[in-house]
Formats: sequence, C-alpha cells, structure tokens
Amino acid sequence: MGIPYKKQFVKSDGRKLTRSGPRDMQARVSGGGNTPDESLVSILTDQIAELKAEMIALRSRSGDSTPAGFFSPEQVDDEIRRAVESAVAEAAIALKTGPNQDSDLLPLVKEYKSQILALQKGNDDLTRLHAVIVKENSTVKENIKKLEAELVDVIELRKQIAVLEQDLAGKKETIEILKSQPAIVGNEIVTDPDRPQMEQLFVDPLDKDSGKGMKPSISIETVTNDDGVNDKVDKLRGLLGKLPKK
Amino acid sequence: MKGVGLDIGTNMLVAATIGEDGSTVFKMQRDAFYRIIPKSEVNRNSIKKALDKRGFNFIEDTDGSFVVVGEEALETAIERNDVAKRPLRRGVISPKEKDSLPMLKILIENLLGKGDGDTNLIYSVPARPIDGVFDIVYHTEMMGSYLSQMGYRPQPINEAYAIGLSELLEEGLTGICISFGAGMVNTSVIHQGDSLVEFSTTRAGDFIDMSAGHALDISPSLVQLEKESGVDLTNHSTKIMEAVSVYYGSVIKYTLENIAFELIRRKKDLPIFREDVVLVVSGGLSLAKGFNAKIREVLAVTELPIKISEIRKAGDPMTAVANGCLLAAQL
Repeated sequence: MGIPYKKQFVKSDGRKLTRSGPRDMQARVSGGGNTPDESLVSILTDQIAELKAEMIALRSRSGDSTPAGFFSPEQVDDEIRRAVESAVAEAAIALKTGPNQDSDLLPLVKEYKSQILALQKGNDDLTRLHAVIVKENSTVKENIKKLEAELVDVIELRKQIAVLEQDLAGKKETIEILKSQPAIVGNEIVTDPDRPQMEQLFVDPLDKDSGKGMKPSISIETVTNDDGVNDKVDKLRGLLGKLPKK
Repeated sequence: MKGVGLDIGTNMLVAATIGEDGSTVFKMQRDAFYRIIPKSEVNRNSIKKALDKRGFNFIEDTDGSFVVVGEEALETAIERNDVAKRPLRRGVISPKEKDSLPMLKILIENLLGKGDGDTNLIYSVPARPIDGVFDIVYHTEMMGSYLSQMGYRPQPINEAYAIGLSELLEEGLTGICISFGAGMVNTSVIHQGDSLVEFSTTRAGDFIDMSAGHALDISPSLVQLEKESGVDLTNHSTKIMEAVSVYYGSVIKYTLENIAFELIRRKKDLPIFREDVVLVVSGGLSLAKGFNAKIREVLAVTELPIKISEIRKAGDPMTAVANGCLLAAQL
C-alpha cells in the first residue's frame, strides 16, 4: 500500500499543488506522450514575448511605468509613511487617554513624563552650552587669527627695523655733514649761530645831497588827545618792563 | 618825556609825541605825492601861484618841478586824470622807487622835526608777508638809517604789536591785533606781552581801490577818495560804493581765512589760552560802517584755533599804531 496522495492539496499560503508530486513526476516520466510539443512551446513563447513587447510599448506611450495591478516604489513609500504617522498618532492618543482608561499606568506615565521633561531640560541645557561653546570657540579662533596677523606684522616690522638700523648706521656720517650746512626753514636760512656770518649791509640808493635843494611848503595837521598817556605808560611798564628785543 | 612814536604806513604817516601838558599829540600826513612839471618859466610861476592860492602842501624840486604832497596830491592827480604816487608800496620802500625816497624823507622830517640825537624813536614796520615776496629787512634798515640821520635813536616794532601795546593794556597784553592798512594787513597774536606770531598779507586797501577802479574803469585815486569819505558796508549809495563794498568783503574773507590757515599751521608755537581772547581791528579800512559785523560774519564760518571773546575796534584806528609806538618809546 502506498502513501495516499491527496490531489489538489492546498498549502497554507493558498497555493494548490496539482502537480509536481512524486506520482506526477512518475506519471510524466512513464507517459512521455503527454509532454507538450516543443514547437508549440516555442510558438507560445514567441507570442508571450510579442505581447510583453506590446504591453511595454503601450505603457511607455501612456507614461505609466508601473505595471497594471502593481504599486510604484513611491506609492509604497507614501503608504508606509501614512501608516507610520497614523500609528504614531494613535499611540499618542493612547498615551493621552491611557491614564484615564487604566489607572495602573498613571504612575508609570508620570514617571516617564518627568523623565522626558528632565531629558528635555538637559537637552536644552546642552544645546545652550553647545551654542556658547561654539560662539566662544569662534571668538577664540578670531582672536588667534588677529594675533597671528599681528605677529606677522611684528615680524615684518622687526625686519624693517633691522633694515633701517643698517641704513641709519651708514647715514650717521651724512647727518653730521648736513648738520654743519645751513638749513632752509620756510623762507629763512638757518645756520649754526656760532658760525661766522656775513654782515648785512644796506646802501642808501639816494645821493648824499639828494633832496637838499628841495623847498617844502607843507603845513601839518595836529590832533591832541588827552587820554592819560602817563597812566598808560605806567601800566605798560608794569606789564612789560622793557620793550622786548627781537 | 622825550620818546617819539612813528607809524610809517603806506597811506599815512603818523607821528606821536607827548605834549608839555601830558596829552598825546598826533601829527598826520598823507603818504602821497604828485609831480607837476611846468612847460615854461611863465607856466612855472602860474602853477606856484595856483598852489599857494589853494593852500596846497608842495615841494619845489631843484629841477623846477613841483611835487604836491599829502591829501592834495590825490586831488591834483584826479584833476589830471592821473594816479598819485606813493613813496611806499605794500608798506615798504624799495630801491626800485628811489625817486620817491627824498619825498618820504621830507614828509617825515616835517612831521618830526630834527632830533637831538638822544631821543628814542619807535617806528612801525610790517611783518613778513605770507603771500608775497619782498624785502622787509631792507625797508627796516633803510628807515632806521634815515631816522638816525634825522637825529633820533630808532628802533622798529611790528605794526600789529604796536596796536596791542595801545589797545590791550586792560587785557594784560593778551589778544589778537589786526591792522587793516592800505598796503598790507598785519596780524599779531600777543600773549602776556610777547608777540608769538606775526605775519602780513598783501591784499588790503590799495587792492580794493585798484580792483574797484578796474571794474568801473575809473582812477583808483578817485575810488580811494570816495572810500575815505565814508564807507557803509550795509548800504551802498553809489556804484563805486557797491564795488568798494564787494571788494571789502573779499579782503576781509581772504585775510581771516589766511589768518586761520597760518594760526593752524603754527599751532605748536601758540600757547593754550585759558580764556577767550579779544580781537582788535585797526587801520583805515576798519573805519567803514559795518566792518565789525562783517568780521563777525566771516569769523562765524572760519575755524580759528583761538576762541574770540570780542571783536573790538581800536580807540582811534588811524592813530593806534603811532600811539603804541609812543608808549613803547617811553620804556
């Protein structure tokens, strides 16, 4: 007695197993006349290929890349998102309404809430601290940059000073020579006061007897002013003493 | 007291002495002359008679010509549609104008008389110009030489400083003095009797006469006479006065702007004035009505490194320099 073979066995996933059992395989092997004709298979394969090509062409014309009866990846993604959002919303509602429905959960929820609040506060503090650190860090970076720039300047200045000192060493002698020469300040020539100087001489352009034969006939206007000149002289003496010499 | 003060101005010579009664005696003579050359002996006689009859001041030269001097020189020049000459140009004598020098000597001698060889004479000289090149030293030395020849012991002082000696006694000799003369404008910044900054500019009364005369095509001597008959800077009665007023404003602006420029340039020479200082204006130009107001107007838009408390006209703008020289001669 062999093992009874239940034809048209329906599997748990719904598939019907009508063939491919060991008996069928035996039957197919023994009754070779039942094998489909190869030429028929080939014709059908060709037809399927043609129909596939036709369908692809139709779909490309209509702009729909998703095969009929299937979801596109975007649609699947949207569906998943929607499902997750609704699940989150439901969970939130359940959390809100939970304590009213179940008084056993109340202390637990309270504890979680306080923990959440403490964590949020800690998070806020950390965020603030982070902002402060970032800010201080940028200030420190800026200061470092400035110092670096100044340092470059200082180095450059030192180089220049060194060059100038070298120049100066060579010019000291020239300065001494120039100091001994007269300088022009504004319109005046300034020389060493101890140096012997040319005497300034002025020659009268008039002849000695020039104007001697002239006969003036001139009367002069006189104005008298009694304004206490002696008091003024006394005041001036008090302020000046002597007339300053230029 | 024997000292004598002498203001040698481009337009006016003013001598100051102290009278026996203790009053100040000023003698003035306009610093101008006009030569008339007779065509014949007959003409010479008639010219002399005419000059005598009109009471003109004149000098008979050895070549037979007449030199009308003073105020009348301007009148004579205008009558002959000519310009009167001046021994000084821009405040100084020049060897290029040596023909004028004998007239200058005669005019001064007529003002002062002969000295006794022991009398101090303080005479005014301009400061070095900041906008022109001419020899102040030559002028100073030559005038000193002439005054010595006349029997005096001469010593020069700056014209603006002399104004300070005359007008700043109550302020302890601290302030700014500006002498608006005919040939030059002289400025002195005085601090406790020391003249710290002295300089002059060359746009002054003569510049106004020349510019207005040129603008209206008339003689500068006529402009000068009109100007000296009285200028009102706030009200112009004639076309000449209008032109004079315009150039007055231009000279005041130029002067104050240059003073500001020069004082800022020499800031390191200036002390820190603890209080605002008095600005004293003097000289013939300052006689114009509305002059102080014009100065105030220009000063309002000019930045001076020294703050001004008051703008004051000298007691007598025509004699302030000679008065300062006289006071200095007594020291």
